[in-house]
Amino acid sequence: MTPTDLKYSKEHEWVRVEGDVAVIGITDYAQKNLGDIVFVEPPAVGKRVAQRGDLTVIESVKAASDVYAPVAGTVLEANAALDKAPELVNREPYGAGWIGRLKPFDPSGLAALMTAGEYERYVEGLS
Amino acid sequence: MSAALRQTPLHGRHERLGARMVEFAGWSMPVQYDGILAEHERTRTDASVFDTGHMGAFLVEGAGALDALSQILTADLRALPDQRCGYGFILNEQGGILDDLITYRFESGRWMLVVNAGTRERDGAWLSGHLPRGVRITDLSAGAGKLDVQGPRAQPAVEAVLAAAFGTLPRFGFCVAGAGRRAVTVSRTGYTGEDGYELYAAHDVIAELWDALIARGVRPAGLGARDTLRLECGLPLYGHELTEDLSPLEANLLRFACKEEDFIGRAALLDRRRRGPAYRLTGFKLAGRQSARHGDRVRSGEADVGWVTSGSFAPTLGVALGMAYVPPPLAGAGGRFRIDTGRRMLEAEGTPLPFYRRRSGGDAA
Repeated sequence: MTPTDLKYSKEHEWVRVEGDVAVIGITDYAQKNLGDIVFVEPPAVGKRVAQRGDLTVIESVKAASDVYAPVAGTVLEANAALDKAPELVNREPYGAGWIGRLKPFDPSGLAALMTAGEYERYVEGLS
Repeated sequence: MSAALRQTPLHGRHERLGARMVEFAGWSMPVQYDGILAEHERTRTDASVFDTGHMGAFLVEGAGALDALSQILTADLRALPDQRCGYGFILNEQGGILDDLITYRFESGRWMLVVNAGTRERDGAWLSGHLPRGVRITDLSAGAGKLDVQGPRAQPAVEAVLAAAFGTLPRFGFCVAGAGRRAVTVSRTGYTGEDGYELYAAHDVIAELWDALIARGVRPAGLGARDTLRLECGLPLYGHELTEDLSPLEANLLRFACKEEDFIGRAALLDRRRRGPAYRLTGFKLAGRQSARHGDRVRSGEADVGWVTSGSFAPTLGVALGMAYVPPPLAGAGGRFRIDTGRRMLEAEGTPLPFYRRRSGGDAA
């Protein structure tokens, strides 16, 4: 099930708003498509990213993919657990496999993102 | 998935197993089942079965077949005993590699040539154009299937499903189990660096063997794991390490093209050797888990000096590694260069091949 408390981008990132922090990760659809994830570059703390700007790079056995910021903001923290266990993105894409936290972030960008229901329909249309 | 893609006799089975199917050289093939890392690991420690029915196979027979094939192939066929197979190349007149292949010498002057899927048609035309009248060539690809059983537990699995013993079969030896249209050609060969077997048979027989292996608990592995397994062993892949613009000299594979008798491309190859190669194939390791990929450029200082042919995270070794063509001084141990992935600049260290060699005896091809 796609969590209903998140908002989703067409590039298959999610964002969860926790007060003045935006937590970012990739969706279950994205992790399945990538396959076994072997490396997540930690987003640089202090880096400012635009909405849909380059946040970081994620690597599966087969390919490298860009991860875009679903909202604009400044990187507060990278998920340090992914250094040792990048497979968390495969196992818990909406939980322990989060990729980065932004603070501050621009909440005005949330309006352009999809709800869980909209994202599910969007993914169905892709297959 | 385009309906025009060719399918092996096991296609429906892959779909029922939940494989992710991809296009490869005009075929719809499984790239993975439960995951490349798990499939790779099982092949190193247990056994896996691979559908390799996309590969091409030609039967060549008739008086003069040995003389004619000896001209076309770099492998020393005259030194090959019956029921043995050998690795080699088809070269063009310039010494460029048209394909790499395994040639099987059957009794009574029959030969089977097993070639890559993407080069099968070109090989067929090249062979037909160079074989004299009286030597017949048959494309077996449409009627025959192929599967590979690879890994330290491959032997008991293959022995059980074929009800025969293969313990005395040497590396690069083969035999025929069964008879008539149920005959299965079994060679002790593979593309994973592990002990293992390649099986050739009619479509329905291949499907029965696949089912029997799966029922025995052998798990399937896809093209994704096949690629990471061969890369760890430094085995070349046509279209990546081997192309028409390169010869066995640059690829460090001259030992498979060094027979004394003449063959197409030999004069050019000797000339290339006299002049010395501009590029050499090298293995490389990267500092982290971030990979270089096919086509990435190699840099030394500010200069663009070469290109990556294959690159991946290596599951058994836990690091990112690959192969690249670089100027000879940068090849092998001690070479230092950078790789531009388009996203990042990665520091690479030249490394002798193979990266991985299995512990218990035998040659890795």
